Amino acid sequence: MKKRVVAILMTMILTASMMAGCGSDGGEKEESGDTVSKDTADTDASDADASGDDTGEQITLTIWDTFVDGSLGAAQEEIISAYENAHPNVTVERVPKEGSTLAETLKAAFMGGDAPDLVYYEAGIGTVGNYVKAGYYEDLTEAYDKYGWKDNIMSACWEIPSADNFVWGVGNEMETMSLYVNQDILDELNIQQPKTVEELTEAMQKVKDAGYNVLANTLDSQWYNNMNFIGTILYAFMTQDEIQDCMNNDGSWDKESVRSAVSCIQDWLDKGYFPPHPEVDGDQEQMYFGGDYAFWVTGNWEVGNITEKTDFKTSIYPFPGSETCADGGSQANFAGGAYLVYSESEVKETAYEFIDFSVNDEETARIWAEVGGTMPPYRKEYDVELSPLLEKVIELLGDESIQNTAGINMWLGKDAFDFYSEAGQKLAIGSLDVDSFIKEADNAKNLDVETGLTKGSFKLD
Amino acid sequence: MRKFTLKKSLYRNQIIVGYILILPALLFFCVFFAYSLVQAVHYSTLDWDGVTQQVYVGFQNYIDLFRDSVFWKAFINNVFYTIGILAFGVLPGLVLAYVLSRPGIRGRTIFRSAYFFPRIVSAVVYGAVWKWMYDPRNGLLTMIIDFFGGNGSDFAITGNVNTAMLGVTITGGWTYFGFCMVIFIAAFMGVDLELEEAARLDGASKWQMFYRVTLPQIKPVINTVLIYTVIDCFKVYDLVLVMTSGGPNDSTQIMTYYIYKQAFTFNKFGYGSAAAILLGLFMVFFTVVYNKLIGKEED
Repeated sequence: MKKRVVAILMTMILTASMMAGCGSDGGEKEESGDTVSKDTADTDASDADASGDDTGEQITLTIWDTFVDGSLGAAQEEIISAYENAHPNVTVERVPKEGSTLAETLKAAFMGGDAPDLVYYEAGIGTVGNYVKAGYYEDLTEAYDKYGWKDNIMSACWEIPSADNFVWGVGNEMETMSLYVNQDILDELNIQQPKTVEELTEAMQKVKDAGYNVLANTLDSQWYNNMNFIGTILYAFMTQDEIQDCMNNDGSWDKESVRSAVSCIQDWLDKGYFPPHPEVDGDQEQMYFGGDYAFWVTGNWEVGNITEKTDFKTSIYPFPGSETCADGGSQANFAGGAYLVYSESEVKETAYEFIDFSVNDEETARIWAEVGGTMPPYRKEYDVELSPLLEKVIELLGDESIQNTAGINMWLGKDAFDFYSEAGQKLAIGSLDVDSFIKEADNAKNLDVETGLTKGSFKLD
Repeated sequence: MRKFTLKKSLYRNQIIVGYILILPALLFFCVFFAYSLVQAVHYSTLDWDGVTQQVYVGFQNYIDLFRDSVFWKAFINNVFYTIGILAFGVLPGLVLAYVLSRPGIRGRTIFRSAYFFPRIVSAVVYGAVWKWMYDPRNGLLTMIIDFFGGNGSDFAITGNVNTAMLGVTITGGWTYFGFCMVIFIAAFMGVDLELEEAARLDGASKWQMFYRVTLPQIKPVINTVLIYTVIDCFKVYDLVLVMTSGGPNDSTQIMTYYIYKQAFTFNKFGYGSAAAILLGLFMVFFTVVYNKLIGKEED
């Protein structure tokens, strides 16, 4: 189905508003700066590369990215091919790597002075903050102005990879956590879309009483299973002000809403809504795809698999907020990774131009959505063919009545990240309760503040 | 006199050639071991994230490590794992090797290959397979228990802090016994059967023949395997990463994974290096003490 996707743009808007108030100083500053139109920027860029064209000089742009997955990798290859066709004097050397491998080899590459010109990687402060402090990444503030990125792409793209008036990255994916339901089961049990966490809990009990499995989520040894689930529940109970306090101002986790969220998870564990032994690694996809589970808290990266591998109807609902949350709760979104430019690169202009081509172009946005199956950050109108479920995701992202906020993993420092990576499993085995959860979360946060790798404490020397 | 000079000259040339021949290996050693070791010792005295400014902190990292409960948990888990591998890997390997090396055993090569097979499979692969076998939801163990009328899902081996390390250790032992068996078979094949025959004629029981006659003949091999096993067990990493990632609640945390996390997850290069140095010192200490004990016994 061919569709003019105005929604995508709404999406972005939403995403923009999603981070409302969470913008860093860096972001604020740039908005007040002079913005050059895209046409002008293109001209400037081609001027910059003109030397290469005129002299026939061949430029090699090295990129390390984390698109090892089939569809994302294919999309990236297609975008690179299109870029090379449009810029015959540029050869892009792409090296896809698993996230952990990239992290390890990148450090060695930096220390050896042989880092790639462009890196696409998780760009939260906990992940790359120390590299920024060490001066390995270029400040992209001027590039944002020059290419007009702030006019055309989502604010999450620069609000996550920035602090202390320094923007070090350009995001390039949009992901959102939602409540995925097996509609066949819900229809059979006459369960309507839950509008609050409390209604969801009631619905879960009905599902359980009917003999179905309830929640296809595990709280196991994998960091993302813990982080994504806990983050989603936390945001259902925390107000925007509370979220901003924890994420931007290094505020304490000791809040009534956080206690309620942790109690909610404990309650669901106690009532047996999770699969048996949720603390043991399990294949959530197979659980849900099997058709016996009614609910799954996951993100839009599963849409392709669900469309392909299930023979029942799936509906996607925004994850409901708690009745106790003053502003109705928020959705957890992610901006995926971000492009980062090596400060010692000799082809920075080409790197900027490639970023611009990747994130600020309707054709590459189409490739990203159709081939990659993920949401591009591009906010203007473009033609794209999407599955019904993906359209629903866009609708959710563009729904202005929903508050969208970057997921906790994008804000946390290393120690807090580590804590949340295991917190779900610890709750599942009973080695954490509400009080110790809060205490350990605050301890981890304080350790991060000591290292200066939180949004509130980050300072460039 | 002339003859003597020629001999001396040849001798000197041989020495020079000898040094030249060991030079490449020595250079390799210096660059990839000695230099790295010195660097690691240097890093262990720093508060350093690997990229920003280095701050000298003296022995503070070591002091902090001694107070770090997770570090000690990891050490104890490694000791547990080592003892487990001795029990589930070395001992069965020794017994199997003895059985398979007996004269007249048929299909020795097939058994040897079959038992050795797990050793050539990547830890990532067998770790994932055993992880599924332990799965309390639909794992093999659960199915077997269910088949015999029990409730298999009661046994979450890798999800229980009391049994998770045991689960990992059994998996490690399964891959290790074939390796030990091959080494021990080679050793048993070299024993003097006439001694056994003599003992048998003297009225020794089978156990006495094994323990008093055969085993002492392969003692040097056993000693080598034991030292190798302890060192290997303290280096285990990928198996834990695949099966439990050190959880739940650090119950399967081991030294190498702990060091990796400190250095590469938390970017605490100094702290991680200090832990690595302590691990290295422990291994040296163990090897020296063990060799001394063996030496005393031999004396």
